[in-house]
Amino acid sequence: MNSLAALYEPTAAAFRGIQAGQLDIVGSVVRHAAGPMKGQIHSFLQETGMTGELIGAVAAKGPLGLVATAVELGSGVIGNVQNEIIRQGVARIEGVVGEIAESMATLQSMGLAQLALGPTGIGVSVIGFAAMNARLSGVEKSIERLSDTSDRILAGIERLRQDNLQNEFTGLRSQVKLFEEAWHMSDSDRAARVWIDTAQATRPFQDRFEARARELLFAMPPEYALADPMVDALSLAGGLRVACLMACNETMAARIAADENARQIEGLTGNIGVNELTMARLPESIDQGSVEWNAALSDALEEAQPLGERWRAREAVAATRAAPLDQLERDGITTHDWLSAARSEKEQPVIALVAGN
Amino acid sequence: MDLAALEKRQSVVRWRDDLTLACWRIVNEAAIAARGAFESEIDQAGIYAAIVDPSGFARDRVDSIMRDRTVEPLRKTFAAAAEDLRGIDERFLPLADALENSFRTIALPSPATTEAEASFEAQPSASPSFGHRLTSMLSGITDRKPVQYARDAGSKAFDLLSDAGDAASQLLQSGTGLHARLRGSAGDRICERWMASSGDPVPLMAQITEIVEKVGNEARSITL
Repeated sequence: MNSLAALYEPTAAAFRGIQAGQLDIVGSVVRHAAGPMKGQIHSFLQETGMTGELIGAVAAKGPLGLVATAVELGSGVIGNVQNEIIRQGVARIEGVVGEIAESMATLQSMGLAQLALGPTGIGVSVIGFAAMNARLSGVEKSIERLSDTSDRILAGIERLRQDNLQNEFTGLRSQVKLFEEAWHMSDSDRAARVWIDTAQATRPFQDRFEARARELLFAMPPEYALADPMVDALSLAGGLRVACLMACNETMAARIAADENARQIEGLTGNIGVNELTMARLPESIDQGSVEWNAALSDALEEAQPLGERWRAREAVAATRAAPLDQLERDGITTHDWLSAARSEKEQPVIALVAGN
Repeated sequence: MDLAALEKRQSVVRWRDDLTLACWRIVNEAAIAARGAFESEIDQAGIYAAIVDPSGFARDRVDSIMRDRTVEPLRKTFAAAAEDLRGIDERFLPLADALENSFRTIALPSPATTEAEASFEAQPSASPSFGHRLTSMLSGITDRKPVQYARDAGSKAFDLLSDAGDAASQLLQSGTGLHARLRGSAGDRICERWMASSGDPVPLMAQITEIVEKVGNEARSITL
């Protein structure tokens, strides 16, 4: 039996187990990695208000051209060096926000820094408007960055612009703001109505981002790079809907919304692997059956692998958003109280709900 | 959503990626070797091979090396991949067996099944083509170097080569030009029959990709 007052020990145990290799993480679920309980769920992770502060700090206070914003760091653009960059960046700002450095170290030690700082998040989004806004801005920026890559992608971006993509992001931001405002209402019934309305109003955004992503992914040739931020936006919109429904204790609806969003995301990217991402990066000008082609294949594979793994992680996070709902019910904790506890947590970047009877 | 099922689907995608990329590497390495070996034999091309049938000359040499260098490594790779697939989920056992069996159905590009020969055999009463007339005349001399042959063959050969026109004359005067033509044919053979993603007959990598895709999709659908 969990209680909100006693979440710290399970969280600390999860940290220790992950660091020791006894536990591993799939999406936002922690499982036993070895022993007789191998494969069984140990606990469910949920990002906290501290994660929001972390994202805000890295995005806003990253000094002296800290290489990227929080979302850029999470996007995998920086790849293998990201941990070092985060470490250096955090070291620079630790005089301003010492706790943030500690939280970042925690996320890094759990291998969660990329997920937490990226658009996907861990568990359900409760990180506040500023941090959600940073995530949305990161998605938008990732589209802008692609403008420099090729004329073909530029043409794709132009199509998206004509498709009022900017308005879509503005609209989604408004829904995030409404979700956030409702947490501050004194009347819980009024807040619940806002969350229900927000969940419903976000639905068309979710579907439109799915349609855009589908069009780009299944185009000939497929526009994987451009589709990626569309799937991020789809994940953000879906996560917001789940958070809204959990905030007003609509557990069953939250479960359905989470399941549907997970299926949308897997339906888009689930069958696209590193092979496709690699082949799409190979320059046509290089002759097959050559040393140059071999080298180009290696380069393309190296670029594609982090993106492929990020896609798998995004699918897993979406698939596990509703995972703690049964446990919360068994523990007699409402979904609203669970999210509220996560929002008010300012010391740990994630909390863990231990799995059990 | 069933997390265990999602993980299996993701494992299948990774399995499919690993297998396909391993096959690409094997075939590309073989192609590099084939190009290298072809280069060492290019001087053996006779005038007929260089001017009239560079693709035939390239085909015989490229295919021979490609077969030697791909069949066994691909067979081992398929066998290892089948074992990996069995390890993901016991429900995939029949698919793993099918994968191994499907390897035997792959048709390797072969000199004996070229489109030109098939077409010629289908029309036995047709007049011998320019290429075949030249074949008769030049039989037995293909081991001689083209420039040497050009000097020896005299006007009769050049009459027959009239279809090739000035371009052929230019090529005859330039070993480099002839070699480039032969290299181009070898490259075309590698790309079109071994490594292309589509074609008729279906290139080797297209066949492999199709098999791996089918098995992977079946495996994923089992876990849905």
